[in-house]
Amino acid sequence: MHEMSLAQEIVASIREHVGTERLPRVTKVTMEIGAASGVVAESLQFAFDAIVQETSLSSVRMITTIVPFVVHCSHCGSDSQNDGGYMLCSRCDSPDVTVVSGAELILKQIELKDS
Amino acid sequence: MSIITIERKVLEKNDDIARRNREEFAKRRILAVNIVSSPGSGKTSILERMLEYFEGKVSVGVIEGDVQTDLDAQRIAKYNIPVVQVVTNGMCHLEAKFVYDSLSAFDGKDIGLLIIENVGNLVCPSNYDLGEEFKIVVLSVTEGDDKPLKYPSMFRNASVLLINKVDLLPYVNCDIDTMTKNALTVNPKLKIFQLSCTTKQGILEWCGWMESQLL
Repeated sequence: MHEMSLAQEIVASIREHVGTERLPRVTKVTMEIGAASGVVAESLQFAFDAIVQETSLSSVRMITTIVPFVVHCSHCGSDSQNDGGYMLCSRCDSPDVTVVSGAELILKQIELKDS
Repeated sequence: MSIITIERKVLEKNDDIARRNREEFAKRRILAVNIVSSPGSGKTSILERMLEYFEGKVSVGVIEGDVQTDLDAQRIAKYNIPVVQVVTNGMCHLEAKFVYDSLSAFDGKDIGLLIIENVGNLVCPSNYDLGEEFKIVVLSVTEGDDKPLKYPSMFRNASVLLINKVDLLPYVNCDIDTMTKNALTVNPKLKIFQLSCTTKQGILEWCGWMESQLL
């Protein structure tokens, strides 16, 4: 359940970027979750909601988008999606791949309502 | 309505501290490794066999990560080497700052190898870079041959797989060839060793390879 630690990092990041005064105006936070990041979107949302309860961020909605796990193959040159999270080219089965996306957890944006 | 675009990794702060740890290891000429696995796969037993092997060859330091108790540090202290116990108080993984805060314990000790034993958990520690040179994942045959496919993140992020408790193979429903194939499906570059801490099978080969990484 490392989602609790991650949610704490997200709350700290929001506070840092928005500043105490504008905190009550935050309505939405958008996250990108890599399909192979080991982070469960529902758990992250649950942890986030639990942490912000009875704080000035209590009404913030977390929106999550799942980013597919994609690897680049230096053998055949193609980018391919690999839903298992394996380091293998889906086109030519070569192991000479690097991760393009899908292993990350990114805080994309914060939305604030007008005061 | 206004939108603030952030585009920032949530673990950026952890990654920054991991980078500082890495710089510190380079400065002190320390090879740091991060041992990860489920609870009970034999991380501490492997560590003990490594300490026996490296005694008189290389000075080793250990950071023990556990949710509670200093039982592992007590086990390791018998080897008369510097050991730091990090108790996470419920947290399911070590973070880079725990390692950074532990480094002062090794000041003036001329450590060549730092072994960080992570909290037993096959999911969470894979997200947290500690500044190590590489991750070593331990999987025991009693856990089943399908685990690499079920927990790919840990096997993808590791450089070495130690298949432990191979002396129990006759008694458990685990096919070691399938386990190896599954691990290599997730990460074809994994270096794999088969070990038993009870019979010492494979220990020399594994520790010898580890020693070659120190050169």
